[in-house]
Amino acid sequence: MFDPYSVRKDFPILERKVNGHDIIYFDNAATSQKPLQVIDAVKNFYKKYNANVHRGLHKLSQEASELYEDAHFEVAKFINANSIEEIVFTKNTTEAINLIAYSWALHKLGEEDEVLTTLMEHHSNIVPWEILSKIKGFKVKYADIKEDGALDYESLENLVTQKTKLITVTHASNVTGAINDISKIAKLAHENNAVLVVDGAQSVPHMPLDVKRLDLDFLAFSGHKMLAPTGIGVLYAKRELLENMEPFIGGGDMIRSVKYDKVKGCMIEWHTLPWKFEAGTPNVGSAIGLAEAIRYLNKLGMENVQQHERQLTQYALKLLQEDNNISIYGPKNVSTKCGIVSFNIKGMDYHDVALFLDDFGIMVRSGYHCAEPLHQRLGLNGSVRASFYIYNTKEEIERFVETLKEIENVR
Amino acid sequence: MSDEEFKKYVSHVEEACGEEKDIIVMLKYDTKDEAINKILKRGKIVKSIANVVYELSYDDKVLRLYNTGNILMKKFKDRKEAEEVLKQLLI
Repeated sequence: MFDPYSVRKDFPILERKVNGHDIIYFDNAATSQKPLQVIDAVKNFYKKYNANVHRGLHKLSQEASELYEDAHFEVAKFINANSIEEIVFTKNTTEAINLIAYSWALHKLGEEDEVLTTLMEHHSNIVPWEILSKIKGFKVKYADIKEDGALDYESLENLVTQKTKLITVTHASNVTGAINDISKIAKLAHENNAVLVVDGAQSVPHMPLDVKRLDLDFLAFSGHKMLAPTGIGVLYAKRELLENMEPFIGGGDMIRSVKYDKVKGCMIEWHTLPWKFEAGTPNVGSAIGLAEAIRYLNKLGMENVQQHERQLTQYALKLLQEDNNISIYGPKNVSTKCGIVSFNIKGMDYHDVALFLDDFGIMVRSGYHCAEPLHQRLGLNGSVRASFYIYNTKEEIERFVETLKEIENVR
Repeated sequence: MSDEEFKKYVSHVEEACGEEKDIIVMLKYDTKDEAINKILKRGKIVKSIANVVYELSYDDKVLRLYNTGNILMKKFKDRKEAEEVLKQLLI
């Protein structure tokens, strides 16, 4: 049985006090806290195995390489990819999306083409496409959202044309928590010969995900939002897509050979997958941390993780909805929403609410949450966001709501 | 005020995204009480809420000062403008 109180014991940071209060960490959509198991795995790597990976003939390098490759296996199993050849380690979700832009779209798209995205995206799934569109001349189109923040599928479908070559959507909004029906969007993309990119930053850490069942072409996500250290992210891509893509970053470890010929010049042969896309010394320690984080989540069970967050979200929505001064954004049905609740208090600035909460040791995020077009569409200048994870409890939600009432009383 | 003196009080200046900039300033823990006193002396207190936050006006600008050492500076053109105002308040 899933027990958040037992889970909490693995997270030493939760024992800290801030401004004399026990920490309530509700900023999980920005980054998660790390369990002892992950901290120890990283520490153990640097204590016992640290070396550069690949092509080192000594014992430490071989062991570090094995651990690094094993981390790719863990990720592949976690999302049900076919093999590690489909798992490229990046810095984070943003870099993974940029890799798709510069390794796939830069070479495949031209002036006549269109990229289709939505108004509910994080800036990391808007800006790379806008930058590249200025270089290649393709058009970026934006599907609308409904008043409750959910994607307007009709708008998305209506924007698909013969020119649409790539559809890129978030799996779950980092502001409203709205979960998109990715199977439906994959079908739409593939029926129209477009490839599908999914930003899984807010979904992979929180729910079971099967890339084959969803028929994803590309999936990007970050390790640090799922208990792993910062600096490690993942790009999943179907093997046939990666095989036909050019590298994004060039350098050591991503080539098989670099030969110089006086007549022909420099001739480069790329390394096999996934290493072709992992130039330079990778973040080995964080990759090992990610593997341990996945093992930790697997022990809990991703269905249980999702169920726990749904219960917390349902409870938070119930308590917050009882307060007439609070406006909540996003769907209210937890079956179509992940553990994110964004809101505003009538007559109060969102940054003020966050600063007040900080005074009580409660950590939330305020502002646009890197999703300015979504806020614009909802007619907002910003919002306060509380986001939950495995170590959060109902008692924390009660203290959070009580504190919001105190804040309302003193304003 | 020199940059060095400024750094004595200010730990971090964060610029929120958006057209009208909100600047969030974090004062250094060790010198925050001294900094808060200086700011309260120079700025005009418009409102005080439970001695937790002070709304101040200074030179047509509005800022909110928290006793935890955070300052919310609303609707500034950019970080530079906010830092200039802050330097005047911290003299």
